[in-house]
Amino acid sequence: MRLLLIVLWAIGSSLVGLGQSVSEIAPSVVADTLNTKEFSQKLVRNESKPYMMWQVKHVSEFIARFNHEALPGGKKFTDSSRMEYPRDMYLRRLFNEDDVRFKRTRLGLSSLYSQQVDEFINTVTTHDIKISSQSPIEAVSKLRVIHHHLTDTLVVKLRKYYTADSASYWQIVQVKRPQVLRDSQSAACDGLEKQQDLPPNSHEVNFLPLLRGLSDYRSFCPFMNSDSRLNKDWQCTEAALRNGTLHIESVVSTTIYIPIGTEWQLELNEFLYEKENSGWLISNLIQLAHK
Amino acid sequence: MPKLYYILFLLIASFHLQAQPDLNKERLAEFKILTEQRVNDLQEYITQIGNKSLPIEQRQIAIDLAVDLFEKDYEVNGKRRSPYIQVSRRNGMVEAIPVRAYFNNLLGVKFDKVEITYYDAAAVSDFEKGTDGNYHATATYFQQFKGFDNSGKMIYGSRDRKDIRVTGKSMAVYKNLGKEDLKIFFGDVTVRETIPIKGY
Repeated sequence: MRLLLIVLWAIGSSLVGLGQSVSEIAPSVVADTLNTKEFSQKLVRNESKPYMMWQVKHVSEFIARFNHEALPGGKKFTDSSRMEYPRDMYLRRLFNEDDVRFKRTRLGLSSLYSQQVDEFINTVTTHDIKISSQSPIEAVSKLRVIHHHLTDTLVVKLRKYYTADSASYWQIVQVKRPQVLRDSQSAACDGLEKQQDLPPNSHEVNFLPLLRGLSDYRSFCPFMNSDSRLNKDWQCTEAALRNGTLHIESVVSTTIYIPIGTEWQLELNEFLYEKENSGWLISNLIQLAHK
Repeated sequence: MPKLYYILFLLIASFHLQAQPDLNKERLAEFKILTEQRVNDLQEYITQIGNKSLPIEQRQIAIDLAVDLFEKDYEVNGKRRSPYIQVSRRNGMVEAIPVRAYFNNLLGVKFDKVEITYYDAAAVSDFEKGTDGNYHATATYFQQFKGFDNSGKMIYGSRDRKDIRVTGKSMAVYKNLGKEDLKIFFGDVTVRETIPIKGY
């Protein structure tokens, strides 16, 4: 009987948890932080400069702006702000305005690229094309490496994958060996490595989780798609990493590729300037048929 | 009688499964606010660490408190690793160091006086679910750093953008209520110089 009562109490506890609303839980969660009054020491905080608001700080923010869903700072569009920032104008602000291809020729003609961008903006606006939240995004990361005192660049291509339960992760799909690696050694994954999925936002911190992971495991195997392991470039780089002759120092840059329908691909790079047209911007518009 | 217990066990198990659903948008929005507050905490600690007028003990406590905001060291291949902070300067210098080493460097800066300025609240991206069951976001804020010599002349200055990887780890914070919730930890950070400040 006592056991039966314990069991019934346990069911009751579960039901209390189910009935708890967000607003009931949230204040205590939010209070679980530093009591700043006790610790405060002349923290100086200024109002944000306009470029800090307008700078496209995250790829998810880029997607929200491309889809005409969010204002700078993450606020949702209202009917009046939609009128103030029509989609075509908003899209144009996502291109790197310093791209020399946007400059008109002496005769006042626009470049082929500029015409392509006009056509793209017109197509996206007319057909209300949006980037899906589960778009197959790819990234190319350049890592600074040292091999026998020589510095070089290792290029790694990654792809973002999505699981059925709406989780996502990054995985390496290609490794391009640095030129300093002349020996053609071979290597293979033994298949026993525990797969290490890179967090879905690794690209926002220059794939530092990958940098740490490569340092920990001294192998690409845990971070690699199994289909990509036959590649000769990977085998050579993997062998040098394992025998300790190749040291990965830092991540120099990351470029993102987002497909738009079946015809276009956007190349994004980060432009860190103190002006409104900065952050993750379109550095190239690639027409896939001509790629 | 054993059959009754078996049925009751299945009932409890099913209630517990229902009590740990994916976090909804409203709850994740609450954790965005918590992340902003955690960033404020970090900024407070960084200000303390850089403040040369404070006793060294207090600044060292600030380092411990700042490090506590980050993911605990985890063990891989028998090694303990902590999150990295990668600093990139406009002159091309890129350096990735563990979190504590970064704060220790700030403690030992050669300037006689340091002035750190922040700008409004951090911008926090939407939380995304990872395959580890945790939720991941990125918090971004801008910081201005100025270093002065004993005559009050500025000898170093830069404005940086900091991006912090934020992990919401699923934890039974409200275990007594049968409720799964998240605990916020910081992970890897990139510090990128947006502009060197003139005057030095």
